[in-house]
Amino acid sequence: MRAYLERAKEHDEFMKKQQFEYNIGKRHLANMMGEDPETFTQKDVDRAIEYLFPSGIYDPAARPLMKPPEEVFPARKAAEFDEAGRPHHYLFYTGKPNFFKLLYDAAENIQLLQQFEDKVIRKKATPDPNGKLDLNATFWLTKDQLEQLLVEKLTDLEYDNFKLVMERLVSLPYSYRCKDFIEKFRKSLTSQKFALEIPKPSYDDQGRAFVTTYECLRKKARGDVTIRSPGTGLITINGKDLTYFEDTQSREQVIFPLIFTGLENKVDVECNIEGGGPSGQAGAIRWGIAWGLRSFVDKDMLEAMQVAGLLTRDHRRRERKKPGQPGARKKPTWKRR
Amino acid sequence: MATSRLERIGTIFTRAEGLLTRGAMKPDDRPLWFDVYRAFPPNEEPKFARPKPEMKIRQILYKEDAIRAKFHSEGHGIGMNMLNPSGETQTKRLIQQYEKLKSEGVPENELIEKSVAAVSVERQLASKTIPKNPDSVTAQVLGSADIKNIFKE
Amino acid sequence: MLPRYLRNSIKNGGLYLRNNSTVAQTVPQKEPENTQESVPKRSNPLEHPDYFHVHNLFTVKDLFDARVHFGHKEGSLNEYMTPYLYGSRLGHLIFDLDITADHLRKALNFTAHIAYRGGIICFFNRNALNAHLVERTAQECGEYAHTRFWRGGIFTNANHQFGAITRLPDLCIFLNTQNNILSQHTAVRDSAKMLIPTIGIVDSNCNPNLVTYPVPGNDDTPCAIELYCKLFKAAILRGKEERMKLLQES
Repeated sequence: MRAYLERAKEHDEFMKKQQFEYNIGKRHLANMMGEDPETFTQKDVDRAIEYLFPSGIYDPAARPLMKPPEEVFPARKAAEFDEAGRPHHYLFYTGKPNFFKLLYDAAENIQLLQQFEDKVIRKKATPDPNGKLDLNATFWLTKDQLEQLLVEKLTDLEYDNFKLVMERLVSLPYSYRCKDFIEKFRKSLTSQKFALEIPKPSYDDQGRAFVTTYECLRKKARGDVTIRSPGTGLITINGKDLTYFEDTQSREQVIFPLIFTGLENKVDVECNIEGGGPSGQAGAIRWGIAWGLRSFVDKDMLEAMQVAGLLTRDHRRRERKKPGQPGARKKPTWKRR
Repeated sequence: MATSRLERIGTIFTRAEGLLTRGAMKPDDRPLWFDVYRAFPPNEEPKFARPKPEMKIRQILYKEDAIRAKFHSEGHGIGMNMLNPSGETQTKRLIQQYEKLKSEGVPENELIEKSVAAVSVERQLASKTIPKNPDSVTAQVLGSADIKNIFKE
Repeated sequence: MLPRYLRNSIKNGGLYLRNNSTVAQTVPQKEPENTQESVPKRSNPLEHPDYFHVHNLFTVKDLFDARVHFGHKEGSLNEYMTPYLYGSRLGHLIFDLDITADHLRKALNFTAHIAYRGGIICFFNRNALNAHLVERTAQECGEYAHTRFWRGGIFTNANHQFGAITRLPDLCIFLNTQNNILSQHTAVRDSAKMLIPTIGIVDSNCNPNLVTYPVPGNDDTPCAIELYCKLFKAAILRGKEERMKLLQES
């Protein structure tokens, strides 16, 4: 027990020392780069390290880095016992006190909400329609995120239980009363992700907005797609129009993102594509158009496009033929005798 | 702790005591519960190995069980409301009525029919006059609720 | 068991508790003075049959109202439970509540004494219906609870599992001793291995042999569990209250 307490104290001191050294290192780095040490952020540190120690190593984890000590050294629980040897947490003997406390709290909230509902029904009132929780834009924490939050390793079964109990809590009519508790375990995902990446369209000499997507890949086809707005629905593929593709399926593939977003007569599309066959080229153009259209649609449409799978790259390639058999998977005819 | 982990031999007390008397455990290190156990030992020693008690389970039967069986076999008085705090089941009323009629000299073969009829009349009267358990929450809610218009907006 | 320096606080709390023990021990020189002062004021809790007044916490009527007397059906009977039974009513076993009350009073008294000495008390229950109630009880009386899946070795391999020298509970209270309907909770066996006394509500299908203070009674019905939780909580709080008084005096 004493050994344990000593070790906990040692760890705290170690972290304090590391923090101190990190701050000094950051100031040195700022001076080296000729910037103000007070406003030098972690982003600047990463950039400075990349500049000062350029590395060709493939794996990013093996490149030189300088991060705050909390990220480098995994988080550890604070001391769990008092000096008489009594654990601090009342669920300590379960081995995962924080997780089971979370389940306990959820169950407690469910009970409280049910009692409240009974009371409301007795008073013949109805639920407040404005108070309804809006959970469309957020998701439950993933298993890794939850583990990080609780500082405990979880099994898949335990994570499923967590989701089950939280879903039940949310499904209650008065769940907005424990909004704070629920939102602790939810995270918004989509909106931020796109806001960072979407490029602003540039303008050509006629004053039309245009976006060019390079490296549109599918099978062995590769090319680039330029979208101009406003336009009249003109599609140019390697100097020809849509009849560049002879079969209808490929043509459908190309115009699908335009029809999906309802912009088929409002933008012009120019593509340069080479390599591969018609279906690969059509798939590459389809992705390129969808990717470029992100700059011209609103947020709801963006989410709809993601759900429809327009923004997903198709990384499948042709599988090689294996010796001793006629195809990649196909085997010679086999007969017992 | 330096103790045997064979839980089927002796009890926790005899094992701890053995360590103490032989000096393997110092008196200062003895478990916290040791003195309490010695002062207030359980009724039976908690030994794993003990002979099976040779006792017969007696059947709990009452005199009126025969009458009860007669009523139940004809389908009277089956089912009861466990949430009703008064605790008077219908079977109990039937049996009381049966005894009463029997003492009045009603012949054996008519007893059951007559007591069933008497109790059903009694129940109808009771349900008209007194609301069931007026203090209960359910009764209060039902009393104030507008049941006929429950599906109308 | 605990390292000695940890137990000093426990010892100081109950200095005179140890004086009347028959086991030969070297008494520190300071102790007799303290005891002489405190003996006239208080009697030794171990000499009093009911020092914490836990016997008046409940009556047999309370047990009956909480449906403690209902056992399981005859077919599932564990033969070691026959002495605690009143009889069988048309195939359903009925407990003798006089015997239950006697056992329960002993268990409550023991609990209060352990709480008085600053022991760790851990509640167990594997019935999902009652788990929340049991955990809340443990939280309210400042003790511990384990109502979840029992990973093997929590007691028997504690130092390795928790990554440090760990003080194990001094008393385990099982609100039901079964893991599922077929097998006994492993913690019952592990407590017996580690010299930890146990109190267990044993239903007619449970084995009472390894439980130090068995209490025959219904272990499924929520209102019965509610009653047990209330009683054990009251006993623990009474023990702790006495302990606080003692610590303030000395």
